[in-house]
Amino acid sequence: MNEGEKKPDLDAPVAGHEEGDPHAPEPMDEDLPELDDEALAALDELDMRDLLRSALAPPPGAVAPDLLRGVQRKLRRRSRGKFYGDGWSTATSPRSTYLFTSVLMLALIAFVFLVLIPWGSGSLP
Amino acid sequence: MASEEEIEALFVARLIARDEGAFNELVVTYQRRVFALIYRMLGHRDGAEDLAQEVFVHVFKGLEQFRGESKLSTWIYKIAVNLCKNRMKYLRSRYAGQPIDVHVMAERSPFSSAKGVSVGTLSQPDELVEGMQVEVVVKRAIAQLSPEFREVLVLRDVEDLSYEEIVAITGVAEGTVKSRLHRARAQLRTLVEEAMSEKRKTGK
Repeated sequence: MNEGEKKPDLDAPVAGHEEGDPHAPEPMDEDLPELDDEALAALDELDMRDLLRSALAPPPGAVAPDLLRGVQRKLRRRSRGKFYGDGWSTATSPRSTYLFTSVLMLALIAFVFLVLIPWGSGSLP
Repeated sequence: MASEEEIEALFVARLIARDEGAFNELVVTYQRRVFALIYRMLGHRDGAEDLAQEVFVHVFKGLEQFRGESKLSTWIYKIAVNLCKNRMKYLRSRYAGQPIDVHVMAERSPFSSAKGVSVGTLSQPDELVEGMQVEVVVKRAIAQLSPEFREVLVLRDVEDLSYEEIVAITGVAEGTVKSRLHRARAQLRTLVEEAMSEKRKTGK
């Protein structure tokens, strides 16, 4: 490149838009980078999603209902007791809870029995 | 270690053997997602709970027909969407002829006026009311879409499902899904713009 030829300064401010000039016109839309149709469509899609999600979000504080009981009841009624007919299948606690309670009660009864009936004293008839 | 597919296959085998404990697990696992989907499809809570229970009853009854070609969740979604569409068609025919809330206006306000406004992003009471109104407008606009359009819009834009999953749920070709989605978005945009411009004109 020859010395006399003026090189365009890419970092130079736009004419009439120098820093500190309060009267400088606002940059026109044409000065901004253009988005192609695909990019605009993608932006629109994102906005649409946000809008849809906020509009269709459950109300604040709303809790999804517990459907299990209702489903069990419907199945029991419609199968005429074939499914979910007994207490075990509709129990809300795990079986281990019932097993543990049963064992505990058996142990308690055995303890009371041993305490109240003094085998060794020979007081039994 | 068993893969996810193997675990699901074992679980499905228990379900097909009518293991009530396994079915309880299934209901507990999917109840939130199914209820949310139905709530979004119907647009209101009334009847959503009952319909969600119906979905699980249909799942229980149709377990033998599940061939494992899709994921269990996709199959459950398919049942939920079909029941929703039936319910929406029934409600439409029952309430046909009643006036709609969103009127057609010649002049439209830009869709951008509704963008980014949601209850969650607002703090001032006025803005909060405005945000709620926008959400009401969008809800009403969604309610005016046909069940087929609402279905793809909810599945793709709200539930974030892949096109493959939507194809499996709706049973239509991928091209049709994309075309419906495009038309649904365009229709929704038009309805929202019309309603927003109506609101501006009336100053409400």
